[in-house]
Amino acid sequence: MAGTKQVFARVRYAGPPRAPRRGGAVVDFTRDSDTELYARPGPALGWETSPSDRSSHALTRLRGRIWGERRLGSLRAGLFGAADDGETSMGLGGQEPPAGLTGFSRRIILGGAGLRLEWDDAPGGERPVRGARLSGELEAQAAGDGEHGYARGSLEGQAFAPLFAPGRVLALSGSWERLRDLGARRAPFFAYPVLDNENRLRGYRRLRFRAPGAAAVSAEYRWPIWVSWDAFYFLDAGQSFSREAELRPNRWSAGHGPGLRFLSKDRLLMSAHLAFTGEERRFALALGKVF
Amino acid sequence: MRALLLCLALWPAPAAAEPAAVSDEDLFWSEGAYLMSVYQLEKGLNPAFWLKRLGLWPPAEAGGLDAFGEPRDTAWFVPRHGRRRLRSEALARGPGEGSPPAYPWTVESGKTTGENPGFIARDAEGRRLFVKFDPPGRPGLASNGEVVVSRLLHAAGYHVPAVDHVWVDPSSVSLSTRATTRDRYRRKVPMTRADLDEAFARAARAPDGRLSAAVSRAIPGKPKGPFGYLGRRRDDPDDEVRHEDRRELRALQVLFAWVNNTDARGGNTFDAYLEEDGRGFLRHYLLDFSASFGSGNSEPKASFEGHEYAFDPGAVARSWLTLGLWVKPWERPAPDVYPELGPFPSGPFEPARWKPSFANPAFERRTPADGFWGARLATAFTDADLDAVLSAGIFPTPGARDYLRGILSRRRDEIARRWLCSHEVSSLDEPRLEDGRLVLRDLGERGGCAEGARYRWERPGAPAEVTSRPELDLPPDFTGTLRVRTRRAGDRRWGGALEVRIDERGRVAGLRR
Repeated sequence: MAGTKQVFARVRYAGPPRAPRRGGAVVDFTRDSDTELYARPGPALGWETSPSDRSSHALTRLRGRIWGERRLGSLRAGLFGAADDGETSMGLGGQEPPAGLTGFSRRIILGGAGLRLEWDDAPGGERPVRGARLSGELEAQAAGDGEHGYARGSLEGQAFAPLFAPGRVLALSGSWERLRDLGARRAPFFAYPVLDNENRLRGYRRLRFRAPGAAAVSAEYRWPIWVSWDAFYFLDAGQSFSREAELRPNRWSAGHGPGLRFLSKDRLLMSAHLAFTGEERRFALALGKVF
Repeated sequence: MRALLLCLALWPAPAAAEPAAVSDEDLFWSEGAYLMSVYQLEKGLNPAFWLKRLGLWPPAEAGGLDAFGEPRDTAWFVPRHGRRRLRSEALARGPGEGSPPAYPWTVESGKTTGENPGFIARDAEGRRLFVKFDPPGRPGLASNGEVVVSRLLHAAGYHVPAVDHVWVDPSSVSLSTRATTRDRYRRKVPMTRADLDEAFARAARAPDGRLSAAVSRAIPGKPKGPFGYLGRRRDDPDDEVRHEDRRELRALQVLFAWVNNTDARGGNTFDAYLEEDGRGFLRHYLLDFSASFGSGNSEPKASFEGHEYAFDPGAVARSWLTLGLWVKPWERPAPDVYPELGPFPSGPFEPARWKPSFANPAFERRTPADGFWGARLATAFTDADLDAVLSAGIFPTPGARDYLRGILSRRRDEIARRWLCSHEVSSLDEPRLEDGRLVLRDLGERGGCAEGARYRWERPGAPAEVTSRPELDLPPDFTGTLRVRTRRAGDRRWGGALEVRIDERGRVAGLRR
């Protein structure tokens, strides 16, 4: 983007991390002056597009969530309220957005509530060596304009298996997320789930895959290299889709590569990886949890 | 001109200035970060390091030695048990003199460095005491290292403070109205009763309420801060040899490996300024041995300690590149059987590979000759000597003392096999001349490798001679240097040479390994 000013900023605050938690809050602010849309006119943004179809938009988005929860053994159940204030316009790239892009060039304020269930049987905090974790969410959000709203469901599972020596672990993960219009209300495009370098499909550009549905799986071989550092080699695969019928193994995109996880005594501080895909290779440094 | 030179030579030298006190702040992070990253990088960029590593360049031998390879400066080291055997009572007593601390104690300040809780107090006789508690549920964990290792090092010849284990009666401890401590921002603040109670609460407690602690007496002289293991003190005119090149500091690697004292940082050293016979000088002390055996100071030792540095770029790179297929033996933690000892493994021990938790430049520059010297100190302790030293410790769990004695005994023998049975350096020592016969002692006997050994003697103008004992008849009026090498039973090659210099008066004038 020579000659243009590109701004991407994201600030995220998550409530107090200390356990046991009974609730908390998350605030997430994003300002992106040149959000790319890898899109062709069609039902889905993402999966069947290529970078040559690039257009862009600017996005300012402030999201917040507040929740309370109750723990029952390995199970944690919570209720949350959420708000989402998003505004999009033409980006620095300047190309026309795909036709029929819901919520483009408008400010949309959504509010709603949801339910979250978590089952955690993998002791070891951020460094589990055995066990499994499952989580699911159901959420509905609607805007006051009567035009926009959506229902969202997600499911995520992780399993950890110890290997031949202490600290060597095979970590498996799978996730599914689906957004649907809420009755006559249409879901704004910026609320669609995303698969990319920072979102479950490592090695792809930011927002590379965005559609009402996303499915991804991942496998990591982790091994300790220092007191609180792990190295890993990962293999990710995933697909964005508009309808479940579009899910096809030959349409899945994949990435693989090495990485490092830097942990403190009880938290994941940072993760770095170099990912190789059929399109390119990308390095990423992420603060906080990736997977 | 000659008169001028004579005047200059006879002019009294100006009294050496008293070295400035160095801050006693524990430079835990900065020292660790420098020695385990920058220093390692500097070392790796030095071609001489790689030439030495590949054996293409001889290692830099230690400095500050006399003609026999012994440290010259008694401010650093005074040979004791290795030269003339100390009696059991002296071994058990250590450097301490006088009566035990007398109650009541008055706390003057909090303990502001280190992990273990404690305080600084004065006893009823006005003696200054440094009190460091054992962690809850583990009486002896930290204090056994303090009392046992300080006694071993003192007997070997190092300067250490007098430390004893004491069951502290909290009801006999009061707080001075002027007592201070440091808050979380390192600011000096008044010490309160709550601070003292917190220290008591974090201490190992006997059923009768007394608290288990290591109590050190104040070191005589003016405190001048730590000396460190790298470089010299520029304000000390006596400090002529870089510390990483001092034999007594390099050889500490052997002794610390023996007792598994992994906290070998510059912060655990101490200089005291003393005046004797009108001359001022610094005496150099070693401090804080509470991370010995299986103790990690305030908790059991982590399993990597003793095997790799707290941050060890080499080990990290090796683990990473081998994709985890290299399983380090210490990844499976040693059993933690005795609370007073922590996990002190009785299994395989490789003395030359042992590492402290912080990189130590003197240890890294240890040569085979330094290793031999350290092994000679460690192996001078018999099992009976160990029993005498261990009598100062505290072992509430039945069998703990015997367990520790057994491990120390086995590790000492392993040290003997590594350094006294090695090809790299001669282990012949203690030369003496008896009626024209040069007699040496083969310290390989301590490692069980002296049996069946052969000794090959070379001297100028004579054919080489091989004997079955480390003894050689010398020609009358022999002066000069002769060399002797050892071949162990079952070996094909001769080991490193020892050069023995005989002077004109028929005395052994020097040894060189």
